[in-house]
Parts: sequence; structure tokens; C-alpha cells
Amino acid sequence: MRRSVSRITSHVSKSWHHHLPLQLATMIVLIASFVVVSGVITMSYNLNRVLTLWGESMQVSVYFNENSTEQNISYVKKFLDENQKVEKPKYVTKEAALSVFKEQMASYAPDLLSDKDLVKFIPSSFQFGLKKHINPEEQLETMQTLAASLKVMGGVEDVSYGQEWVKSYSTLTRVLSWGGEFFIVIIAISAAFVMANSIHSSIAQRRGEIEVLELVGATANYIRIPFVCEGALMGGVASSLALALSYGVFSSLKNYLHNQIAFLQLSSQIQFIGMDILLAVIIFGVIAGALSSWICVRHINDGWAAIQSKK
Amino acid sequence: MIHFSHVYKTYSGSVHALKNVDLNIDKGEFVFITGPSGAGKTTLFKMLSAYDRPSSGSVNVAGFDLGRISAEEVSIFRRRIGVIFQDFKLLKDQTIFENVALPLLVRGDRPNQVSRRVADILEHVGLSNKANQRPEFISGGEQQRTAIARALIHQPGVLIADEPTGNLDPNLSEEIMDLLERVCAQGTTVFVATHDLEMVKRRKKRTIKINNGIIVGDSK
Repeated sequence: MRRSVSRITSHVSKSWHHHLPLQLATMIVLIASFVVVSGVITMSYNLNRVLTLWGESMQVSVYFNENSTEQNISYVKKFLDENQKVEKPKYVTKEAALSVFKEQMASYAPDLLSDKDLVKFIPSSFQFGLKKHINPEEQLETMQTLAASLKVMGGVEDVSYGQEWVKSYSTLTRVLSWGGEFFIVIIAISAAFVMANSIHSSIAQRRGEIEVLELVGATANYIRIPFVCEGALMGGVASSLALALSYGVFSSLKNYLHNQIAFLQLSSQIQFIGMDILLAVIIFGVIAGALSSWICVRHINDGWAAIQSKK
Repeated sequence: MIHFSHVYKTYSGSVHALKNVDLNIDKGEFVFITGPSGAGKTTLFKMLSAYDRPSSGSVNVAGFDLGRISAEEVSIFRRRIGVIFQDFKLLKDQTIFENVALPLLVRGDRPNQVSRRVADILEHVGLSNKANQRPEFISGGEQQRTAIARALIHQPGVLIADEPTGNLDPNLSEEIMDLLERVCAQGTTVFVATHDLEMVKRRKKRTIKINNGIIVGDSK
């Protein structure tokens, strides 16, 4: 075991010492690929956070008509309390609604506020949001189902949840979610191809070394394992450096965005990708590096490398 | 030890490099194979050392059927033979010591055994003082002696050399041939492909002549 580790360490250090320009070029290409991957993941991650925040602020209002009774209101309350998807339903009396209305309209229509009959036109209502565990993509369907159930209940005049806005929001989240996943997969596959290609060039230039090892009777594992470890190490180091670089760029951009979109109050929502995704990117780098190296070296090291190089 | 039976080797474009070659070489023999450039010496060398496969016929070396040998068996076979190339095939980024040690390292010998054996063989070929140098910093003759040391370190039953003196001056060539004869005297079968007819005449060993891929003479 110690001899194997020492052989691999020696292989990697010699490889860097004797093929420095090639190894540096490979590393730069790998880092660039991972910067693109982590950039796309960061964008997608933050977009999802912002959309989730917007989704949490969506509210449903159930308005009661003039003829609604205490029994009607209790029935609706029980329905909402028992529903697993409903978050904190709140009953707003006519008086409370009027008070809020007056507060909001005081500066716009002072005459209107002195109208004593105004309270007749303002209905009592239930207001609620949806539980956080409901995905942005499911929110529209959940709201539509709840609204349909509530509308047919006694004493209910109307159910409002900003239908048009919720529809647009739902479409946007679906498109961004599918598009983001598709884009991440495409970028990851492209990065894997770029890695494979660059590692392939690096290994192809060392074909002579593989040939000599075959000629002195080295087994496939003896030849391949150091190259695979080297590929894994390069993938791991490149992905880690790329993440560090992305974090630097992200921090600078975040400060810039903080000033530019302060009015949207979103800067607290914009974050760098979480630890779980960071680890996943590094593991992807290690596996992709090892796999690319294994495929490339296996292509050359088939026991007959010396013949093929002459063809 | 070495047995060729009706061996043909055809490359793409219907180039027949070997045609119906039959050959038997016994254990401990020293054999030269001679012929002009393009006669088939190198192809025969490749068949013998499992660096290429025959198109038809059978090649049997040290008990291995090289026409049917698998990739896994090839590495086992190559540990039983020693091969010397005209272009040395040394690893440029490794020292002379490391190059010579390769056959022992790939079979997993212990480091102290490897060190001892490499020191012995380097002394035998007169390269003890060059052990820590890299190939690019030693002469052509020293590089060839390094390649010979690498081919002999694991004490192979068969030593196969393709133009081992092709890049060397006459004095160094004689020195290398003396070394190969000493190896043969210790029981190793030695097979040398060369076009240096003067040297072949001086050595008075079994000589196989090949021309256009056909064996045209075998003088014992």
C-alpha cells in the first residue's frame, strides 16, 4: 500500500515536473469548465431562492357575502385549519378590513373615509398563504383546487389569489426550473467532454511512457492506476480552485447587485451555493477526472500500444 | 525455446513482411538474423517479442502461443523475456537506476531487493557511476548498456535484440556484443537482428538470412 502511494505520488510529481506546460494548460481548461458549471449552478440556485421568496408572499383571500352566518365562517375556518397545505389562516372582520383600508387610503381620499356606510361595502374575509414545502411549480394547482372548494361553500362571495400573477409566476418557475436543469446537465456534459479531451491530450503525449511500461511487462492496473489517480486529483483540484474563483467573482458581483437592486430587497436572498452543492461539484470533478483518465489510458494501454503507435 | 511454424505477416495494402517462416531455436543458442533493410528482420523481432501478432501460422516462445496470447498474458510473457531496441526506449524523465529497475518494480519486488539487483547489474554493464543521471545526459553507448541492463535484470530465458549496435561506433558495438555473448554463456537464448555482416562473420554464431520475408539461409 505504502509502495503504491509512493509510486502514485512520484508519478504525479514527475508528471508535473516534466510536462509542466501541458499540465498547466490542462488545468486551466479544467478550471474554466468548472467556473462555467459553478456559475450556472449559482445563478440557478439564486433564481430558485428568489422565486421561492416570491411564492411565499402569495396570499389567498376568501371573501364572505352580506348573508354569511357564524356557521358559514366556522365551517370555512375548520376547512382551512384542517388542510395540510394551508399556512396560518387569519380571519379579518369587516371592521379590521375597514381600519386597514382607511389607513391605506387616508392620504388619497379623505372624504371617502368619513362615509359611515362604507363598512357595508367591505366584506369580512379569511386570508392565508401556502405551506413552504409546496414547490413553486405546484402552487398554482394547489391554489386553484383550494379556490374551487372554497367557492362552493355557504356564505362565500369570492376567492381571490391574484390569478393572473400566480399563473405567470407558475409558468416562469416551471420554465426556469426545467430550463435550468437542462442547462446544468448540458454544461456538465460539455465540461466532462472538455475534461476528457484535455486529459486525453495529456495522456496521448505520454504514450511513449505507456509503451515502455507495457514492454517491460507492466499489468494494465500498474499502468492505469497512477494516471487515474492523477486525473482524479486534477479534477478535484480544478473543481476546488474553480469554486474558489467563482466565490470571489460572486462576492464582487453581490456587492454590485446590492447597490443596483436594493429596491427589490433581494440582496439577503442572494447567496453562494450551499455546502452540499459545493461538495457535489468537487466529487463530480474527482469522478469525471478519474473516469476521463481511465477511458483515455485504457484506449492506449491495451497491451499492444507499441504496435498501434507504428500504424 | 522458440518455434515458428508457417508464419505469415501481412500489413495493410497486401504488403507481405513474412512469408511461410519456419524456425526452431533451442535453449541457450546465440542466433543472428541478417538481411537487407526491409527484409523482415524487424517484423520477425516483433513476432518473437509479442509486439505484433502473425497474420497466420504459429509463433511459440518460452511456452506461450503468441498468435493467440491475450492482453493479460502478454504482460506475463514479457516478464519472461528481455528486449533491446535500436532506439533504446528509455524513460527520459527517470534516472538510469529507475529505468533499469522497471522490470522488477512492475512485478512487485521489494525495494531493497531491487536496489541490490540494480546495483549489481549496473556494475556488470559498467554504469555504476551513472545511476542517478537521466538518459539525455549519457552517451549513446551508455544508453544502450542501460537498455541491456534493463533487459537482463529479471534474468530472462530469452533475450531479443533489434539492431542493438545500430546507433553505436565499432568499438562500442564490439563491447555490446561481448556483453551479449557473456549473457548467452550463462544459459540465456540470445536472438540478435542486425545488418552488420562483418560483425556477424567475426562472431561465428548461427546465422539466419532473411530476404523479402523469406528465410533464405540458416548456417549453424
